[in-house]
Amino acid sequence: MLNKLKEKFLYFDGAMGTMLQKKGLKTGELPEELNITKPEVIYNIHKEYLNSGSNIITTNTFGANRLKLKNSIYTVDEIITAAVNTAKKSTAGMEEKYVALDIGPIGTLLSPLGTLSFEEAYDIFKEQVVIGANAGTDLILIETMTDLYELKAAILAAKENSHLPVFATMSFQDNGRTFTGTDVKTFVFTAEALAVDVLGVNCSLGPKQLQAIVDELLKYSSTPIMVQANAGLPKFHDNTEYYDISPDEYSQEINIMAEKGVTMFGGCCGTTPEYIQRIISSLYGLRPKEITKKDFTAATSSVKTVFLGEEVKIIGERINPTGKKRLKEALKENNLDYIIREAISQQESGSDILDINVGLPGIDEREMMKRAISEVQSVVSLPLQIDSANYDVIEAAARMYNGKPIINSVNGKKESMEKIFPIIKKYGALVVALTLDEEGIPSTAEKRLEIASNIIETAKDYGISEENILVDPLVLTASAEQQAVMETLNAIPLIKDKYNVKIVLGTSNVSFGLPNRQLLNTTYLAMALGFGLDAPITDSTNDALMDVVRSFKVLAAQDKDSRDYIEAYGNIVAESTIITSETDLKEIIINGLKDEAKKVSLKLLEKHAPLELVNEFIIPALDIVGEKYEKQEIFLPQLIRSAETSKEVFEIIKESSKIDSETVEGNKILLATVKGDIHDIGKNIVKLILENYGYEIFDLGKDVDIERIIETVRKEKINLVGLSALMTTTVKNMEYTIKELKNEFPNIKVMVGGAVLTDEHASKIGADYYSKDAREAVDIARKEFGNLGAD
Amino acid sequence: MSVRYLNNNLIKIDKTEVLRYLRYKNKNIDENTNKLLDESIAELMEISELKYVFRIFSLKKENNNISFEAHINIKSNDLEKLFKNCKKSAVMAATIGFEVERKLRYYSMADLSKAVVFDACAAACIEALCDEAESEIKKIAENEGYNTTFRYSPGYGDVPISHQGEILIALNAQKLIGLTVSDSSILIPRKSVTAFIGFDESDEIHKSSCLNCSLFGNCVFSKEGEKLC
Repeated sequence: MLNKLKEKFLYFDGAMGTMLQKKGLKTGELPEELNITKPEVIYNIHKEYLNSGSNIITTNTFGANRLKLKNSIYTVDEIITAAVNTAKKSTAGMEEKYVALDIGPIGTLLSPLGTLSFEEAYDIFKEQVVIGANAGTDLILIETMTDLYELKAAILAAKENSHLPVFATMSFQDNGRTFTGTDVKTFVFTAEALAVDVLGVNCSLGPKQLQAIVDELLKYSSTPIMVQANAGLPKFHDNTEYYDISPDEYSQEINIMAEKGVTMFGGCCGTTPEYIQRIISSLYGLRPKEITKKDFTAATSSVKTVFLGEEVKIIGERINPTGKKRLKEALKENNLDYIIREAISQQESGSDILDINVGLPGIDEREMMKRAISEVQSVVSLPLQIDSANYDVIEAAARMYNGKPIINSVNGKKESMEKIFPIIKKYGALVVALTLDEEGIPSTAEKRLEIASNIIETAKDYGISEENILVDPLVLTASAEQQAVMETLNAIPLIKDKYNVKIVLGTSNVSFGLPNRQLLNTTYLAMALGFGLDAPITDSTNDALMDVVRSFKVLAAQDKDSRDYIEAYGNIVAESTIITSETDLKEIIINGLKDEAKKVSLKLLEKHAPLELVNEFIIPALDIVGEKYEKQEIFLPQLIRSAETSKEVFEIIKESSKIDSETVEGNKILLATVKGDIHDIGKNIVKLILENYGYEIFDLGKDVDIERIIETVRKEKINLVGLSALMTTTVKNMEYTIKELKNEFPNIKVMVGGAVLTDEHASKIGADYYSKDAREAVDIARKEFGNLGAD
Repeated sequence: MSVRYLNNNLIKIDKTEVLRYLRYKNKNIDENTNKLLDESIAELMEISELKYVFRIFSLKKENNNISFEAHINIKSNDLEKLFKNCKKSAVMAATIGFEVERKLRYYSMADLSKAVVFDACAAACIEALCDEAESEIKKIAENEGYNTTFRYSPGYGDVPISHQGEILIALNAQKLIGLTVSDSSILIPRKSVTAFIGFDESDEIHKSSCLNCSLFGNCVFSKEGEKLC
């Protein structure tokens, strides 16, 4: 069927809802039930479309999933089977007519935007696919999607549970993004990575407004494109939706799209057989353009695409426990906060892509990687590079990643390629290829090229094209192998001349074992960029390295009119003089001056013991702030700012004292927003303030399963749990959580907080304490632990 | 039924309202917070996607059961009282979009003091959008010779928020304005509102009252002795 496409335009049908409305059937009730209650009506609509020239008719199953049908007397199986049977009956005896199983959005959002898990979404789609395939559908049409993550679940479900062609469309607003923020190119690269057979756009806008979106699709897609526009924007007469672009106007716009290169058409809301007929006659004599193969190297998140090769991009390296004590601790404590903060600071300092490595002996790397990706993706918009030495970790991460990731890495060893390439192919990722093989890292540039060639050619056997490969020619240290340093750089042009691949390189190893490493690192980075490095894997929070990148981009004419450079350096004023009087740290905390706090506390630490800083500056300052807050002399934003400032000082103390954090055993508090709830600002404030007073916080985040809370309490021997819930519906989950906790641990104490709670309500659901605000949480903790902590 | 996509310059985020949410009692707002406020408002004007949809239903009332043409069915004394003189009601859903949701999540991890201020500004923003929707609905009611009740949302009084799902389906809100609901009945994006506005045949003046509020007895404003809402 898809082969025929190359010679002919292919026509879908138009709207089902509009036709049902025209036939006087009420909207609002479940239209999918008509497959069983009034199959003759559906049959006739299919027939009308087939007679108007449609090649593909769409089953009446848009909302036939188990969530939307949960109040129906019919099962998903009954409805989809009936729908496919009716559609097949209508095409019986006709030539070149096909049936598409229609799959629309589930109707609720996936985690982390919503609370439905990726696996649940997959299962819901899988059920639809299996039933549809068994009933004999010819292809699967996933349509009107607005959430890229949901689209990915649906495509995977279709691909893994049938051998049918998969067509996928999303709906865009006139700002070029879906409701959840995905732009056209991000959709194209992600859907193409998952190897859909056809991709396109439908619904939401009329054909005229869709032209700009179609242009974007054609610019980036190597996959055939379909368009199903509405007959204009929705208008309403009384309570009835209507659309007012005439079939003539509609087909004129379609004609323009066909000339641009779209090869498949159908209609969406407001279209009827007349529209289809008109489209077909208006395209008479026109030949479809074959879609050209594009060769972009692009990684995406759900809302952002980053192209490699056009200009230098930075892959942030900081989320990697190698040599990082704090990150190791955080991973062992199951504390994702630290990772998220690292992600944020790298995004803000100019990283374009973030490497994520959570490999550490003694932890469940697979689960940790999945959680880290999910949490980082919910906060940061950058694409990620999944970095692990374990194949099962890579596979699990590539599967649940939202967008098109980079996988770090494959190398020239046979085993590595055999394990990694199937994953790259299936999930459509970019992959970092290290130029080493069974014989180790080669000493010459030529040998590096040879290994790269082997990897690239082997990838082709798996159907992975060159533009999806990023070669890392591997840096060696100048102190140990001085002669080899240039070989790495020489390999860059050798490889790029021969293949359309991009080059990535971690550069900081070069200086290992020598003094003034920064100087060597920056010089080497500048050299590598000059040799054609596309994306250094480096630390964007390091100003000196960023100086090199920004200045290189000016000199290599990548930073147009030096705009970014001028923005970064044009307004530098001489640094304000540091306040040196020691007593000022107190004032600094009271006034919430974070930058000053850092400088001053570093200075103070030269002369004072860490504990002195805590007892003489931080705690007195916090007490004053707390008092002012109680007296309503200052308000919440100021209280938080002071707390964040003292946290900054704590961080500096921890880092400089080079000892493990000084929290007292048994001084642990677990915090969580309960299952089903996603409000976490209040909980985060409580956490910040408690941390300030020296308590060790285990923050499990939001929408937390009861089992995870129980498990953490057991493992960490926690005595006080703080739960937050903001809705009447989720207070129920709070109650269950408390019940389970008390069952498992009769002596545990629970404090609760949230807008809909009261003292009385809190004790009714079994909580020991109601905490009105963060200050009260501190009082409760003091009561439970005695005046432990810093004071 | 009507659906609207508004230009961001059509609404104004009221700074005093934001300060009230943040519980500033005096005018002595510190410089830092003031800066955060101005930044947040500017950012919201940039990234909000203001959308609302509403539809007018005729009502059927029987033993505290209120039926909106069978699309929405609610059992509620409070709503029955509100609709005492109503045979019709508008049902509306409004949202300021996912980009705001994303930023809220970002600030709640990256910068808590900004998060608190941004959250309050976003609350004022959706409030302003609802006012806009309400005034359009009011005009329709007035043209037809009706007075209107105040805006009444699930979660007020004895109307459970579990009705959010029905409301969104009745308004086709996922498709038209991208609004969804989680299985705990949380609207996503969170800065969104659904509400009823009754078309009242009497000339009774409806005033929203604390008694109707879901936070009655626990509202920080009333606890602090402030007259409000």
